[in-house]
Amino acid sequence: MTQVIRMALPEGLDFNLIAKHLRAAGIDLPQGGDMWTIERPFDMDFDLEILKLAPVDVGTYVERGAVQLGVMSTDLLHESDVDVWRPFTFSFGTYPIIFGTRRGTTLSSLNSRPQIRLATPIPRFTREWFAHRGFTTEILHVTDSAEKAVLLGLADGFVDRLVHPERLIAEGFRAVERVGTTHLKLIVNNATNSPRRKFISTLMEALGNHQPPSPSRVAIPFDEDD
Amino acid sequence: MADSPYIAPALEASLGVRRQVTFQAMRVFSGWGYREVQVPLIDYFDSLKRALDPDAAERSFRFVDRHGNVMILRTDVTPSVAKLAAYQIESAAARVPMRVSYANKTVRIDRGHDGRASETYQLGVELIGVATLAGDIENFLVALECLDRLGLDDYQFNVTDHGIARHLLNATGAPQRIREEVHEAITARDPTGIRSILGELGARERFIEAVSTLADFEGGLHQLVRLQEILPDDKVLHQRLARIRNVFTTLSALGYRDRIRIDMAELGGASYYTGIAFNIVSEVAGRSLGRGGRYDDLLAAFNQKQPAVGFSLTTEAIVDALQPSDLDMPSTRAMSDAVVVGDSLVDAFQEAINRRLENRPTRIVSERS
Repeated sequence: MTQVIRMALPEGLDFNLIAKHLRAAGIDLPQGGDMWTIERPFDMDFDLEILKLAPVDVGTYVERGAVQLGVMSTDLLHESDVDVWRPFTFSFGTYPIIFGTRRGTTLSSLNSRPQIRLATPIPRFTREWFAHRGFTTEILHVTDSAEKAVLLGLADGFVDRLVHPERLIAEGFRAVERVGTTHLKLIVNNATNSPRRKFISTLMEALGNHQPPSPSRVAIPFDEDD
Repeated sequence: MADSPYIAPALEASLGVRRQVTFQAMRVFSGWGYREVQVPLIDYFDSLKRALDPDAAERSFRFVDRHGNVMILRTDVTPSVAKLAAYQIESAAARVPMRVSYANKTVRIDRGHDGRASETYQLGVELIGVATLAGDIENFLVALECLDRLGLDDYQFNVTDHGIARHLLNATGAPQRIREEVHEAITARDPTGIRSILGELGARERFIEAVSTLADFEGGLHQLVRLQEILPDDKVLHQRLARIRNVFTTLSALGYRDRIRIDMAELGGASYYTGIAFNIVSEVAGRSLGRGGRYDDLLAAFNQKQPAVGFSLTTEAIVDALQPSDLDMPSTRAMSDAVVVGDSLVDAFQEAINRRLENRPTRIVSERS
């Protein structure tokens, strides 16, 4: 009897690359829509139901077994602290995480303030990173653009992924320091049984065999201000 | 009721099922000769912390009592049982082997950002003073019978040996902080992460290969074969591999082949495990139902060097995994239970008393309601 495996893909930035990679690996994902059923991929006794979710929610769905596998970045995995397996790393979706400020603002000028206000969509990571280095910070959790928070005076700096370095410069910001790197992972519910693991192994093998070449690394536009 | 993150009420429907699960489990434990113990909900942090898993200590509720002592709310029953057993053995109030069971609540702070408390009921057994393979097998069999008696269909024991993982991680020469990172990557089935961490450290390739083998996604007996091939001269490793293979063979011969899977990456749970251990998982519940294993060093934290093995089940997870048909729970009360209270309170309540004297179910229904 055919069983179902559900897979959650993150909406947004990397969705098209993931969909393209899945197609190359033999998962016949149609264009358009939000939810798809792929019947018996790899001729195995499983139908694969694929759905889109907000990136930050994927881990919760997988952890609690509502979907068995998903794709999530390591920064969000750390942030949501979900207990899932992450057995496969995609060759794309790797970005530096930077600490950025307005151009003309230096680390020493920030350090002279009683505390540094930082806007970020990854508050847990940011708190840990700065506390570890002895900075006094106020962490402001924003889910939209962290740069906007700096532009509007909500924060002195931001911590976020750097996807478009040229945009960072054009908008009057500068990168102060690289604080981490995020990777894109296939994540799996940790109560997954043997037959489903077999299917997921086959999927991972197909993904590995059709791994697109790694895109060139995002170059961080450091300047000499510090 | 004020909205508090620390209050988790349970209503009749879930309580009834939990009680039934507890009752069934305790009967199985008793049938194997385990005697029930109660351990304190509140204990001295200083005395217990030696035995506490660092994660459990970090997620514990602590407070200062009137005398200035730091107290802790129980986060895990096993360390409390170990403390109790150590004192009992020391004072000659008990002799090994000791078989104890428990059904106790634990309280710990959730992993999520909001720091909510999570209260769970743990049901379990501890077998203290038995170092042999027979102790490991008994531990498995009690857990297996318990789940079978509860009517669970969908569960599997992922079996590993914490001693093998520790042995291999030590062999890499990695410092403690790196070993913790690698340990985390193993439990996440992330061989790429393991290779990256140990590669940067400059560990020898065969140890990197061996540790990566632990993280194999599918798991299985082939992991044991592969480890033996990678490190053909490691006698300590081979002894441990023989022991876990023996557990697998014995349980398979007893008819549990389909319930047991070698899964060397199953290294989550408390850090006090020292040997063969298991995680019981259910796809229906989408999570772990319980964990168990050998913890031969835990009683030494209370000055008693005794081997021990045990397991605990999480009642809430078991309830999640049970299908409604698995338990004989009345969904609603029958109309025949009702005693209608009209104008004569005495008549109605006399009838209710008479029914209760006959031990018949009774429900008071007000005529005007």
